[in-house]
Amino acid sequence: MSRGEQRPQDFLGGLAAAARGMGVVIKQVFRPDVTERYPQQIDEPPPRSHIGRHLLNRYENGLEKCIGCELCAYACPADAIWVEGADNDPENPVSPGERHAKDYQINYLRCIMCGLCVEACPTRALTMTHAYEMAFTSREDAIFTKEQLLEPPLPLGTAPGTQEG
Amino acid sequence: MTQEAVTLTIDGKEVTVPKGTLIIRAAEQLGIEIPRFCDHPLLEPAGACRQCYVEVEGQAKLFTSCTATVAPGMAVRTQNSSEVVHEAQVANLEFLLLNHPLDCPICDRGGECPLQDQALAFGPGESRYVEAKRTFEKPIPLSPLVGLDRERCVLCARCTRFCDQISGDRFIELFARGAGERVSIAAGEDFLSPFSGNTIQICPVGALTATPYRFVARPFDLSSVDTVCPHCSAGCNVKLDVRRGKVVRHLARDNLDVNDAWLCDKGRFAFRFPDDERRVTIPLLRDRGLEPTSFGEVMDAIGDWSRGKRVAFLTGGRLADEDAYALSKVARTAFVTNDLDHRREFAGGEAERLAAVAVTDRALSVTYRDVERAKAIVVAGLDAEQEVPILHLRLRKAARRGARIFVLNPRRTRLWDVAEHVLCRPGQEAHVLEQIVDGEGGDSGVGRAADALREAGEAGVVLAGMRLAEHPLAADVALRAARRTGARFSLVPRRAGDKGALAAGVHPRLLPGGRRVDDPGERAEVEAVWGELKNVVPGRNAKQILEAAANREIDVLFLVGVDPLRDFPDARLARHALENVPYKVVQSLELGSLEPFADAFLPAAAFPERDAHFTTWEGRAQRIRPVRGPAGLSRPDWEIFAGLARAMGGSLGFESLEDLQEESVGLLSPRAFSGGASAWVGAGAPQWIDELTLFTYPLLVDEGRLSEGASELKAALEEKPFLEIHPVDADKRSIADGGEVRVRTQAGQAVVPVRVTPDIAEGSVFVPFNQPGLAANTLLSGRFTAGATVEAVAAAEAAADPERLTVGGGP
Amino acid sequence: MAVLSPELRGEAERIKARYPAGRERSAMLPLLYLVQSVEGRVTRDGLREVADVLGLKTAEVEAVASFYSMLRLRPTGAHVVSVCTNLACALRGAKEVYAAAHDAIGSHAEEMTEDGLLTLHEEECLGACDAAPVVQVDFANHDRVTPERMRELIEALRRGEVSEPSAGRAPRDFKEASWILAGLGDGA
Repeated sequence: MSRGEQRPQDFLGGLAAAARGMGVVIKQVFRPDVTERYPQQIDEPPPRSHIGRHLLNRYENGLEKCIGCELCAYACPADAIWVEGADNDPENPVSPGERHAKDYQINYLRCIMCGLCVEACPTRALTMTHAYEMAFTSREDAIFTKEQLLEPPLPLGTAPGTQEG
Repeated sequence: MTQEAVTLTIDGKEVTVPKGTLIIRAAEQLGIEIPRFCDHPLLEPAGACRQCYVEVEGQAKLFTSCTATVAPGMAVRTQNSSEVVHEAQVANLEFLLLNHPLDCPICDRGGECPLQDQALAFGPGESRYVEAKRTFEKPIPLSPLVGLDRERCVLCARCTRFCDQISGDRFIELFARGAGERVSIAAGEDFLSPFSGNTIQICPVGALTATPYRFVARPFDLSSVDTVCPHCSAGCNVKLDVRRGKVVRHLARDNLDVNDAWLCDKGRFAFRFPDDERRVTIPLLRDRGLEPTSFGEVMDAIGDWSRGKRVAFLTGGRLADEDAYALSKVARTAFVTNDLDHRREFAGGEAERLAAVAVTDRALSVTYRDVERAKAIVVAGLDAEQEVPILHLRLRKAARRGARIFVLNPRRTRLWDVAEHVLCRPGQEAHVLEQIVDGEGGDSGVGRAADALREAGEAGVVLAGMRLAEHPLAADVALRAARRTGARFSLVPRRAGDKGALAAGVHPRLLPGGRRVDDPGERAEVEAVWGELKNVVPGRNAKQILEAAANREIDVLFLVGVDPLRDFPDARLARHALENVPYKVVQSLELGSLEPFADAFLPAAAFPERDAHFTTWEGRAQRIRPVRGPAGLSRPDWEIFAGLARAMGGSLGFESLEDLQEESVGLLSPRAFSGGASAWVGAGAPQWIDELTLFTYPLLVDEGRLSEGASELKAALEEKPFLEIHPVDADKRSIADGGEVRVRTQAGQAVVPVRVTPDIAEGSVFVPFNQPGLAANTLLSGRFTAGATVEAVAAAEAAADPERLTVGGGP
Repeated sequence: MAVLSPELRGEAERIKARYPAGRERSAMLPLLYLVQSVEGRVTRDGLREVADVLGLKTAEVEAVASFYSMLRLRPTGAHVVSVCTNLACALRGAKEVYAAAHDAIGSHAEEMTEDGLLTLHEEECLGACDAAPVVQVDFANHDRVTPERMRELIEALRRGEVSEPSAGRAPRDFKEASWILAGLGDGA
């Protein structure tokens, strides 16, 4: 077949293909919107999602579950966790048993949220929450101390920066 | 004597081993690992843990392979080829774990625990035990250094066997029996052994833990380096663990040629000095006060002070071999002085010759192995447990192998149960040694020592401590005693750098390799490497340097890793010297008591920051390796010396450690001693005037350098000052044990608690050199002995005395 | 306070001298009995003194003393009643004998009665299975003891009488029994 010659059925076929393509477009126009308008509109992640900031848990009697064993730090592939153990004062224990964490830090500039630390924890002291809002303006802010990690995370939308949009 | 060989098969593999070998050792030779807890190659078999079961064909019951010796044709099957053995081992591990708490995450042993490892490798995956486990109060402090957790103990008896067989300090034992059996210490007693830390290291579980390491780190966050302990001339091989740049632990490494698998508590627990807060890591120069400055400025200032002036160098025994060599060279080439010394004990001509012998004549030297195999050993002027602790353990090992040991010392040592002591007054050693040499034997300590040495021949060993080097003849006589009987001889210095400094010629009369500075032939050998030496007159020794300094005959005094106020046996002379030298340059880790005197401070790198060597008392150079870089601006000592040479307008001729080592190897390599034998001079019996002889030496744990921050060690083993006196002398002076006495010497006086004990020679009194509250060098006049008078002090008077436990001005 | 008077200290040295040089350690058990004969039990001071006589560490002595149930480290009455409850005796009713003794002696039977008279001790084996159940009063054997006989024995002790054992002579009390076991009595 030589160039420039177009048969009528080719033309009709092209038209049908274009209509099929437009059909997809038109269908998409009426499908629900998946774009999240963060931070104007903040959706709660599913209740069992563990995607964000860590939490150091306590027993019901207030004692810390963390025993300072450093297994989380050992498991961490990014070397983001620093733990320092110390003796418990038997009169005024921080955790059950002999040892507690004197210092506990997670560096969120290093953390890759893989959750291996949570798996390594022998006392379920360390878990992850859904608080994924982690934007920092300084290195210091990105290193969470034990006091911060013992506090439950702030509700979504209250982290610094989320208000400005 | 050749050992009879035995051939057997293990798991079908044939192996030939000497008769008497344990099955577990034979299996090791084949590379077959049999799990074990109580077995330790340096302890006698116990068969306590029952973990090492093997099957021997033809035998109905399983054998514990750590107690059974091989027999010809024996067919042994381990867990690898026998289901019965495998089941037995799994069952035994389950049994051991019944009462063992599963607190591995917080246990200091977790991650490096033989029980953990072997439970994983050989044990059951799960426990069927659901009942409550046995609990004890824990941790029970056996001493301020060692904590005992009875819940974790598997009763392998390694710790108690160590105390019984190796250290002889039988403070801990297995008490009671059956289910109540437990490791314990007698109530109210402390684990007062300077080797207590070894029980922690050989504990196969976390039952014994070190207080200084409690909850400090986990094995996986440590970076480690294999190095050598810097504390004494024993040269123990250690593993140094660092967490985030901070030294947190020393462990012993196995080296059967040196320390077996042991380490003394000082070597193990005095590790905090490189991180001590008093350490200074920037150069300082005195302006209005000591001001921080740069190396360049401080070097220029030193150069200005020193050019054409009278310079002297004092150093302790803590320099590494390379540093000592650089010091020897920089002093003689750049500063053109022979006034340099590393010693505190001086004897004069004969001992200096002996020092040269000790460095150069390897044919004479003694090794740990020689000590171990010896049949007769004479230890003179050395309290091995306090001064070179690992040598003490070797002497005990030799005794267990049947060696006869004689200790010639003014004070009974902790070899008391395995050695015969000949107590003699300090200064009398040469006389007693002469009797041993000439003696016909007979029924006295001296006679028996003479007989034993003669019988032993080449299997005899004479070890002379540095206190012998105080007497002009004693060390020489000791050498002659050895030569006459064919025994081996060694001069045993105390500190890690002593032998290296001697070899490198940090000595007023000796150049590297023990070559005499005033002997043209020997000097030429050094000049071939260093170039012509302009100063060939032997210099001053340490005492003479301080005297010259006090007389304003020295312009610049370098104090390299030494504090004469504390280390030199004449505190007043040291102070006068420092007050009368225009410029004092301190090169060390910290300023300490030299702060008011220093005009310049050069920060030195500490041993975990160094690549260098230490030479043991045997003459074995061992490498120390860095685990981190130098702290702050500090530098290795040899680099500082190289900088000083440049500041003086010269060069040491090496810019790297490799160059230095290459240059020095020729000068330091062994050579035969070329000096002619000097005429025999009879030492003669010394004459005593009617006073006591005070003598002193440093105890293992005291206020000396490199123990900074070792608070647990000091709490456990550091003694308060005391004075020991013989009951006969005490009775004459109405002195009662436990009271207080006033001791006076020409140099000073002190009031100290007294111990009346027959374990000291009559006519002598002992005061430790540097315990907290009493620096004994304030009682001394340049030697470690002094004439003294001692009188009882009434309790009331002592309490009111403001000079109590301190030292007054004069007699 | 010294446990051993100067005379007894001399006695201790004589006991030690019975054993060959270098094996003085073997004198430990007789010496511990000697100490027990003075105080009615082995106290901490007693352990230290034995260690002192033998040139040993206290822990070495305590290790031995705590191993043997004949050496009492805890407060002990003037008389010690030991009931074997091991297999042979148990099969012949020793548990009932022990229960009878326990009832008769009362509370704190295993420690010491308040009047300091009696201590009951459940023993592993007294080495006389042919005469099971066996009871020892101050180390003197009473064979084939029934619960009734047990009560009689204790009543006798309360009255200050020492019942005739099945063989030999009964020691006056636990202290004398220890004295004999130290090798110093005229034998039983």
